[in-house]
Amino acid sequence: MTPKEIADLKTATIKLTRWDSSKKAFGHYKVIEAKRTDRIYEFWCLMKILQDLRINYDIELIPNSVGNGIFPQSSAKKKGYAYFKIKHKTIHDSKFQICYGTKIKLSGAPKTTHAPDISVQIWDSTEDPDENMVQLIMDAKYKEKDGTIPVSQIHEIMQRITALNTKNADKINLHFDKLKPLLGNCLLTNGKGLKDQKEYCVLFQVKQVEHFGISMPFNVIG
Amino acid sequence: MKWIFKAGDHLVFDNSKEKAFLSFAQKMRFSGEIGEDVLILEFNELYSVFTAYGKISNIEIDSLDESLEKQAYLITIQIFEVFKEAKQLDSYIYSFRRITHYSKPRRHFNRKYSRMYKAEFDAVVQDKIYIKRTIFGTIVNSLPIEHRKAFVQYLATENPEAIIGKPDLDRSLDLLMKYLDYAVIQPSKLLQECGNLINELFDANTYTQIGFQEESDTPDSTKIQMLAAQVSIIDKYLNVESNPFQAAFDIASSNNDDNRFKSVFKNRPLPFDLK
Repeated sequence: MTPKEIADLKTATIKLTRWDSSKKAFGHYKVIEAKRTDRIYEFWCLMKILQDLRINYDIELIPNSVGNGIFPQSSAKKKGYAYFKIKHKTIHDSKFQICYGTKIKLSGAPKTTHAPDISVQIWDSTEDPDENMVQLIMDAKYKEKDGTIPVSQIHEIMQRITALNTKNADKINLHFDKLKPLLGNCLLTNGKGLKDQKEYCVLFQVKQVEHFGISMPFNVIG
Repeated sequence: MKWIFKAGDHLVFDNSKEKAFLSFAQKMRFSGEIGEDVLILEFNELYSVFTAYGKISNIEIDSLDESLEKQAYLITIQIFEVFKEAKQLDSYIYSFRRITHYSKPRRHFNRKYSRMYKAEFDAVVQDKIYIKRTIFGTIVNSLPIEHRKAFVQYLATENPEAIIGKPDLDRSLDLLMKYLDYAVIQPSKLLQECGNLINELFDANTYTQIGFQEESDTPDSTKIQMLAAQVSIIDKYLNVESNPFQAAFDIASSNNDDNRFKSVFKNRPLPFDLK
């Protein structure tokens, strides 16, 4: 490499590893003393789902209070952030909110919240939703190449499904196009799932969606 | 033995620039010999540059004063080449054994003259730098502190020897490129695709308004992570035609052993700090 190429490498590294707008660190890094990391894979999953839903639905971005499309950096209260409303083009009662990183309280324990990465909420869901307004949840786990979901993450989403009462997510009136196998509570990952936990997943109504990344095809376990 | 002579009042070039004269007085014997290579390093307010190289052609010693025991040296350097394009010290910092302060490498060259290794000399004169160590140091020292710390933790898990002072540079570079791919490059590609999807789903105005913000941050534009600006950066630095990382990945996975440097840098720590 020439000195110029080394200098270019230095510039590229500096630029690519920081958000241009805020100069904070960019990327998926393990948080040690810092308070935040990025959740780009999680947001990408949301976009892929919307891309699929667009076939059957009209999609509207509901802006946040300042009028922009600002989403939470990490899980946050619904108020103050943007989300989506989707309406089926022909089936009139198929309409929902698709929310990202929203903290959802439990009606029986309002100080406790669960914040799935993606939640399908009822059309009239409020600014401060509880589990009665949530119908389906998805969590996204970004892994290293050849990384596998640990069984603890499967336990975790099951607990969330129980607390938020979304066991019947696979029966809701939501019509995917090519992502039909994702109808239900999903644990999405770009890595590998655990095939021998298939029966466990079926028993507790969760789908592991492995290889859900830039190079698909994905595969559903459960 | 090879030498670095520092430019200054004590180092004078003749008009033709074919010779230079280094003069100093000291008690300690100068161990240089006629025929040995010399590289000339010059500091000014803005730059630290290697300006020329040559060989020692004469050494004159005069006793100043017997009681002081100091001797006056006048060393003649036959200049072989004045570098047409300045060779910045910064381009070579990872090829010098003595350098541990990468942002202020000057402080390692305080003396009028010092020794250097053949590999270091060749690194500058022939631009045969220690490429793997240079890529490693350049990348890690350009990372924000959050990434550096996360990388150290990754390195400690995958290659603990690196942390206790016996690093295998080749393996560490390999791990760095893996880390970079996972933590930065793949997420960059994902964000690019998010940008494409938003453009597919919504209008151009919406695209420029998408961003991310912590609950605890005030609504101040410098605290929001804006997608459009970042996708521009990613398009610029990760495009297929001119991707500086591709060359780095290729070199990291090559068997380029840099044997000349391996013995010079044996048991030296990895070239980065956590400041």
